[in-house]
Amino acid sequence: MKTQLPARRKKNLPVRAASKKKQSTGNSNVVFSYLVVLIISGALLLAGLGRVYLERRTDFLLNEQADKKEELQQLKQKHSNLLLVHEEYLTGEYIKVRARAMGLQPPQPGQILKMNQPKVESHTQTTSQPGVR
Amino acid sequence: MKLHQDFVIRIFFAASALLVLAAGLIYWLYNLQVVRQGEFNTLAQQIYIKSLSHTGNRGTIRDHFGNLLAGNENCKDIYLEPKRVPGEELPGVLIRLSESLDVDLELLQQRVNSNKVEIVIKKYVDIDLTAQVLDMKLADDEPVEGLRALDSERRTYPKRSMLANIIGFTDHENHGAFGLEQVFDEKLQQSSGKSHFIRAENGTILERQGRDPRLLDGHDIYLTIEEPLQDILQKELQNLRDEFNPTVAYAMLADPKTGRILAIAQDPSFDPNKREEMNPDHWRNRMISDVLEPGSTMKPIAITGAIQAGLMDINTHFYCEKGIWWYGGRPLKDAGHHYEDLTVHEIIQKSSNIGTAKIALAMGENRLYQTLRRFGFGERVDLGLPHESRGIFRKVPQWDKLSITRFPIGQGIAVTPVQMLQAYCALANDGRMMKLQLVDRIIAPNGNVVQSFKPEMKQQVSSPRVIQQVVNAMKTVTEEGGTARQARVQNYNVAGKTGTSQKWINGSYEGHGKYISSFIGFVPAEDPAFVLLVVADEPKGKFYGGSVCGPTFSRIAEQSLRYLNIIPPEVAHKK
Repeated sequence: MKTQLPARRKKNLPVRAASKKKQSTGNSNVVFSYLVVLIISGALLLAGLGRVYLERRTDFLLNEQADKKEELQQLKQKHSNLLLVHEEYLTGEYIKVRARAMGLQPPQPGQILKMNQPKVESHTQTTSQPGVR
Repeated sequence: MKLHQDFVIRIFFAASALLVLAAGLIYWLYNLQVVRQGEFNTLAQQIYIKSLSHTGNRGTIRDHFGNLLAGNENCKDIYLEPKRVPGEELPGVLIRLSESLDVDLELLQQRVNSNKVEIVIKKYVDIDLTAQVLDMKLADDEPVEGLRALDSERRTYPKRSMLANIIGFTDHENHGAFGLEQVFDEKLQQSSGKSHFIRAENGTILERQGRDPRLLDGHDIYLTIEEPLQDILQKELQNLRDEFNPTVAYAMLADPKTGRILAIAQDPSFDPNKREEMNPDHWRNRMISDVLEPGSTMKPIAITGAIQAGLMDINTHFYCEKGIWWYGGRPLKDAGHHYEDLTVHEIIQKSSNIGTAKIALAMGENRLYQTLRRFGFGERVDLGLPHESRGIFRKVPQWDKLSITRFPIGQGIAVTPVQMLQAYCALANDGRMMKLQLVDRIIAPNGNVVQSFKPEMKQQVSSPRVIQQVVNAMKTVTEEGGTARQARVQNYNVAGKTGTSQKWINGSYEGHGKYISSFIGFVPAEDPAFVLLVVADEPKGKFYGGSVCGPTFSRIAEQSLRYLNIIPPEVAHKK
C-alpha cells in the first residue's frame, strides 16, 4: 500500500535523489528540444522541396499555357480564314445553283408577309462575326 | 567568480555586435524597401514587364446586311537569318525553302548575298504551310535556327469580281489604291499600339495589360448595296453579254425614295484577288466617269419641263411630219416611222424625235436648259467616288441652232449613267430628287456608329401633278404600241423609256453601225420600289434599247421584286 508523503517531506528529500530527479528532467528537455528542431527542420525541408516542386510545376504549366495560347491564336486565325471561305460560298450564285438542284423555288411575291422590323436592327444579328477581319 | 564576469562581458559584446548588425540590417532593409522602393520597382518592371508592338487589321467593307465584301486573310511572312544557319547546311536549307514555298532559288541566293542580317523568304504564306516550313530540320535533326514567321494579313475580296469597280483594291502596303478602298483609306486604316505584359523568368507571358488589340482595327464601311440584288444584276449582265456581246454593259438599281443605290454592276469587271490578271481597262468605273449620249431616255425629262411651264399638257397635239423634218438645214427622222399627229403622251410612248424636238422649240432654249439642269445634268452627282464626271452640257450661249432639237432627244449632250439614274429617281419619287448614296454607315472597332448617312433630299425638280402625267405616259412604253414591250414585268406596271443612240465616231453618227442601247424605268409604276437602268455599249446583232436592254430589265426587275417581296398591285387590292 502506497503512502503519500506530505509536501513538507518532499522538500526534505536527500540530495542524491533530488539530483537524479533533476537529471531525468534535463534529459527529457533535451530530447524534446531535439524533437522540436527535427520537426521544424523537417517542416522547413518539406516546405523547401514543396516550393521547388511547385515552382517547377508552375513553370511547366505556364509553358504549356503559352503553347496552348499560341495554338489558340493559330486556330483563331485559321477560323477567321475559314469564315472568309464561307463568305465566298455565300454568294447568291452558289446558293441558287444548289437550291435549284434541291428543287427549291423562290416564293411568289406577296406569299410572304413582311414583319414590321427595321432592317438595321435585324442586320446587327447577322453581322456579329468579330472573327471575320 | 572572475570566470563568470568574463562570460557576462563576452555575452555583452557579442549581443552588442549582434544588435549593431541587426540595426544595420534593419536600416538596410528600410533603405531598400522604403527609401529606394521606387527605383527598385522601376528596375524590376523593366525586367519583368515587356511591351510588344501591335498593328490592328484593316477595316472591312460590307453590304447593307453585313455580308463581307472586303476582308483580311491571316497569313505569315517568313524570314531567315542566314548567319545563324551552319554554312554547309545553308544551300540545302535554301533549296528546300525554295521548293516548299515556290520561290525562285536564285532570288533567295541574291538576298543571302546582300549580307542583310535577316532576309525575307516569302510574304503572305498560308498558316499551315508556314507550320510545315518551320518544322524543317537540319542534317543533325536540329531545327533551323534563325527561321521565323511573323503574323501578317492579306486583303481579300471573297466575292471576287462583285462590285470590284466600286470597292477597288489596296496596294502592296495595304493602302487603298482605287475605289472605296482609296476614298475611305483613312477610316479603314488600322492603327498601331503597344500592349504590355508581365513575363516569367523564361519569357512566358503571364498577364497582358493595356488596350484590347482589336481596338486598333480600322473602321468598317457598310454600303447601301444589298448583295442578293447585286448578284441578280451581275448574273443578268452576263446573260446580256452572252446574247449581244457589247463592249461594256452596266446596270444600276436604286431606291428612289431614299436615293440608296441597292446594286451597281459593270461588265466586264475584274477579280481584285488576282492582281496579275487584272486589266487596267476594266478598273474604270464607267458608270460615274464615262459619259454617253443618252438618246431617247432624255425625252420624258425635257417634256416634264414643258408641261411644268404650262405651255402644254399631256394631251396637246404635235404634228410629226410623217417621219422626216428638216430643221436648221439638217433632217430629223423618226427611225422609220411616219407619225403624223401625236399627243405629248403618244410622243413619249412612241419615242418620236420630231415630236420631242417640237416640244422643245415650244419651250425655248432657256427653259430647256433650266429643266435639264434641275434634273442634275451638267453637275456631279457627288457619289463620293473619285474621277466622277459632270458630263458635257454646254451653257445656252454655246448652243448652236440644232442644239434645242437635239438635246431633248439625247443627242449632243453627254451624261453619266449615274446622272440619268438620279434624274429618273426624281421622276419616280413625285419630283423629289434624293441624293444618291452608296455608303450607309461607318462603324468603329468598338461597335459604335461613327457616321450614318441619312437620306437627303436635293431638290423638288417638278410638281407631283406634272410628274404623274409624264409617268402615266411612260407606263404605256411597255404596253401595246410602245417601244419596249420586252421590258414588261408580269403582274406589275412598268414606267420606263428606251434609249438608242448612235455613237459619235470620227465626226459622224452614221455609217459605222455602233450604238448605245439602254432602258431605264421603275416598277411598280404606282409606288416604285426601285429605279433600274440597263445600258449596253455597242451591242451586236440588235441595237434598239427595247430589244437589247428591255429583256434584261424585265428579268432583273422580276427577280428583284421577288426578292424585295413587293406585292403586285392587284394582289394588294384584293388583300
